Amino acid sequence: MVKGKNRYFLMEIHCENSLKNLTQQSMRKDILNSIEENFGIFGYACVITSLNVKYLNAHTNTAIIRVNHKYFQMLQQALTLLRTMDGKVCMLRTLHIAGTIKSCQKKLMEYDKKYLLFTYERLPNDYEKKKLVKKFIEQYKLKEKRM
Amino acid sequence: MAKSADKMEKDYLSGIPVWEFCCDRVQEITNMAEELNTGALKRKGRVTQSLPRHMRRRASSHNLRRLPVRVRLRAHAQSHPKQLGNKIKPKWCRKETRRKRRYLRSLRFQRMLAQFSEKIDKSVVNKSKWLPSHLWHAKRFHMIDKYSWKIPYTLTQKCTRHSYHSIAKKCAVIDTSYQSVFQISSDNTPLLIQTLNSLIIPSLSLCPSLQSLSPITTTLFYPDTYPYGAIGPGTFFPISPCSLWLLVHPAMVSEFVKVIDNFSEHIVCTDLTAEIGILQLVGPSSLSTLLKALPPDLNKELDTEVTGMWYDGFNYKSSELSAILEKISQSSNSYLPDNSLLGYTALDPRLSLPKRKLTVPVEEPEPDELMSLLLNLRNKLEGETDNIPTNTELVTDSNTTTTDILAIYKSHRQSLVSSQVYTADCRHQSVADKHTDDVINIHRGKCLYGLIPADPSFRKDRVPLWLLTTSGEHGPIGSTSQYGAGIILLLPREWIMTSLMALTYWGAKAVGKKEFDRVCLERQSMCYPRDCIDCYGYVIEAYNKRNELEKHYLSKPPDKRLEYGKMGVSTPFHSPWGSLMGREREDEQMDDDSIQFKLPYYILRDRKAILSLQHVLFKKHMPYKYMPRIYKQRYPCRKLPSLSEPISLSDISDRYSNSLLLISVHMLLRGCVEDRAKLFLPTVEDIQIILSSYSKDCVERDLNLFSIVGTNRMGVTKITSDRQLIHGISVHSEGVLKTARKSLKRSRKNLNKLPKDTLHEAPLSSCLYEPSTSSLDNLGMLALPANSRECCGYVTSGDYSFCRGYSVGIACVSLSSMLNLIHTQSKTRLPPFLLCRNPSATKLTPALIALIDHS
Repeated sequence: MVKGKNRYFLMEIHCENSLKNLTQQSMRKDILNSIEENFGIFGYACVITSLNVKYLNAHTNTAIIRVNHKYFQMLQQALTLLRTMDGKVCMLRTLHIAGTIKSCQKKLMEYDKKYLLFTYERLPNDYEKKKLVKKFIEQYKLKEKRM
Repeated sequence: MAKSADKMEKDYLSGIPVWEFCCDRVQEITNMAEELNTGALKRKGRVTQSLPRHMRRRASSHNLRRLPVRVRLRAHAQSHPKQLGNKIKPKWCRKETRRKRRYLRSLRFQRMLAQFSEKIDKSVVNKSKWLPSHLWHAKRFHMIDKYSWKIPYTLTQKCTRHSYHSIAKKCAVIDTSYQSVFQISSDNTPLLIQTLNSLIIPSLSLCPSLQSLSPITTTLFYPDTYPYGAIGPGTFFPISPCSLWLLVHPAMVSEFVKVIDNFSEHIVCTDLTAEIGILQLVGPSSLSTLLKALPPDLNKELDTEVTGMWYDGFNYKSSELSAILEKISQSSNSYLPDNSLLGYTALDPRLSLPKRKLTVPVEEPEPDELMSLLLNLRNKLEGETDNIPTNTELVTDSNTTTTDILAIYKSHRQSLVSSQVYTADCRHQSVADKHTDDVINIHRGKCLYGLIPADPSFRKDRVPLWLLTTSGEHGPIGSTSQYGAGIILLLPREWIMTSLMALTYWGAKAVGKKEFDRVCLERQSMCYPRDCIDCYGYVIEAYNKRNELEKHYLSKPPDKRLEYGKMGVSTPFHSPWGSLMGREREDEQMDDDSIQFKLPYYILRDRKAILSLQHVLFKKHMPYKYMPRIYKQRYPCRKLPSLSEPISLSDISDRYSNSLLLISVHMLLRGCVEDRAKLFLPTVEDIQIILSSYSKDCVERDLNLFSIVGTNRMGVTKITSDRQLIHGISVHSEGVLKTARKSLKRSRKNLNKLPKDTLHEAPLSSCLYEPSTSSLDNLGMLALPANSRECCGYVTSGDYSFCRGYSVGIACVSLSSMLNLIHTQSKTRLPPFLLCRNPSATKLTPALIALIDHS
């Protein structure tokens, strides 16, 4: 039997307002609406079984979306044309497309580290920098203990 | 779009709360990392579903061996959920990686350490306590359960020569923290002295010892029961005129505590066993190894910044101590006087470990020799040949160093003797300031050139020490051996493990109890409780040993057992001291009301009496230099100490009639004297055999005739019955005893008159039977006919001696037998000898004897 292949999209959501009320189900619904609007009921039928929002972080505005590999271009185009989410105007930016979710998670980590470094260099004084580093170490140690 | 992408991004960034922004991202990173590491394990579903398709096998649910090894354990846990709690793993699962196994083992040791600290903190009843260095010893030694302690008995290596070699030539160390330390103090000094004097030999007194702060090792007795009622040996460490420490063996602790509790009104006795650890070093280079492993804190400039520490202002800054310790550390040949106390504060031993473990204690060259070498090198390089000092000018005289040390020690004794180890606050502070091994190891990893002893990061790490030098001079009177000299080291218990590690790294060999007890045998001195037959500890140990040997004997099938009955051995598993002394009932005479465990006999401990007897024995026989070679090699007494006003034999026999003498036994022939071997007085014909072979050309085979000597049966019976009458197996009046003695003399004369052929007619077995006792009935052996030779004692410990190259032993003989021996052998001018028979042997072998001074 042939193995079912998927593609995972790592997305960043840009929105003027806060997206803290956004859920995975509402996001999926919005994406399906966008596909139906742009590709009709045929497109809707193609992706309905495989489309899934695997991960959503409303604080960092990142999401990982899964779709069947045959229709990944359809999704990419639909995401580009998506303008509203949860009633708010937003823009979706694709950071990475991968065949496994693990790859997307690694990419997300790299992206966050890059942003952190960007912010760290622009912090006004040493005190804030130390505070940030300390926070990072504390969080990391907590996780290590749990693991 | 109303705004450009860049501008939007700028607005977005300008409106971001930075701290929340960063925290959210940090959280996300850690979540992702956790998910990446553990995600596979948390995944739901069966193991078979997690495998790639090409590795999935049909019917792997009922036969887990079809799965790859790495997932078998997980599959087993999923298929048998009830067995999840079991730690037993099927054999067909892969065992953990070496790294994982080491990690689990370290966890196990951490749990053992936690248990170990519980065992030290709580007094666990009916369970053995652990030494501070138990874990280290458990990996390298066979551990035995003794005196409610787990004690290292012997190395797991099969060879014993290296232990002997270390003790004889280098340095050996043993952890004897199972010994108990008691602090005895009182407000009333005269009462304290009076009380303690009632517990020791009357000829000694603790008053001068307490006043001059000099240690003393002696035997403890029940109050006012001397010479009976010995408890065991104890070492007194005086602290001040009104307090001292007492070091006792764990086998005698219960008896000592009972005795001291009676004086609880005016004496305070505290058990410091849980706080004080003891290390014993044996060997000629003990002191130099100790000073390298635990270097004294002599750097006065080190602590100028830090004040108010527990070691501040103590004698470590005194010039006398620094002078004496510098001199000792410079030369390995110098030593402190015997039985001398020294207290000092040492630096952390972990900071001065050598890079590699040393097999031989380092002997540094004399500093002047080093200087001469450097001068020579410099002069050679510069081409100068004049002004080179000769070696003879620069060789330091070790004798002058030793005399200097003695002079300094005697003049500044009071300040050198004291130590901070007896102050509880200092002990606790030194333990509290001690850094853990992890911290030291991390620091060691960071240092480029290794740790230095005076590292300022660990300036608070100090060890208070108290050491007592012991001499190797105990043993047979007149022996010149110095084997077994060493040091007893007292320090806080938490520092024992680090000190032991440091000593082993600097060349000391760790030995067990078996090797340490051999030291007493090699130097022929009394070992408690093995040789103290009049003590409670010995009775308990002998009883346990007897049960163990009987159990072992009966566990064998009857065909494989030794037939002690046929061999004529009545008591192969114990030594019946009671019947030897004419008192059948040798069991403990312990009343419920009394605290005393009292036996009807005792070991003679009067030094004067022992010396007098030895003088008599020594003078009666031929001078040492005229002895045949084989006797000269093995005769223990080479040089007698002088004695003024010796006690006469009649006085000794009147005063000490129920006493036993401790003697050393040196075998003349090949073979090894064993424990519980029996000693016999030689008969007239035995003496004749020895006399006939007593010449300069005497060889071993001339002496090997005792196995076939037999006696006329009639003569045997008559002599035996007379002897039985005399030696108290049945009680008679004086008149009967007199006639028995006379008839014994007559029978002996008649024996000598018999022709020699008749002497050999009797069968072999007749001369080897022993007096019948009832102790054999439970083993199914027959009662035996009487023996022609008189039993005079038993061997308490015997083995081959590496020092000498032949077998030696320590034995106890009755005083009456010794007097008999003096009387019979005085006319022949032979050195004193007895006949020895091992429990499992059929032969008698001659052995030379000498008295042991153990007072």
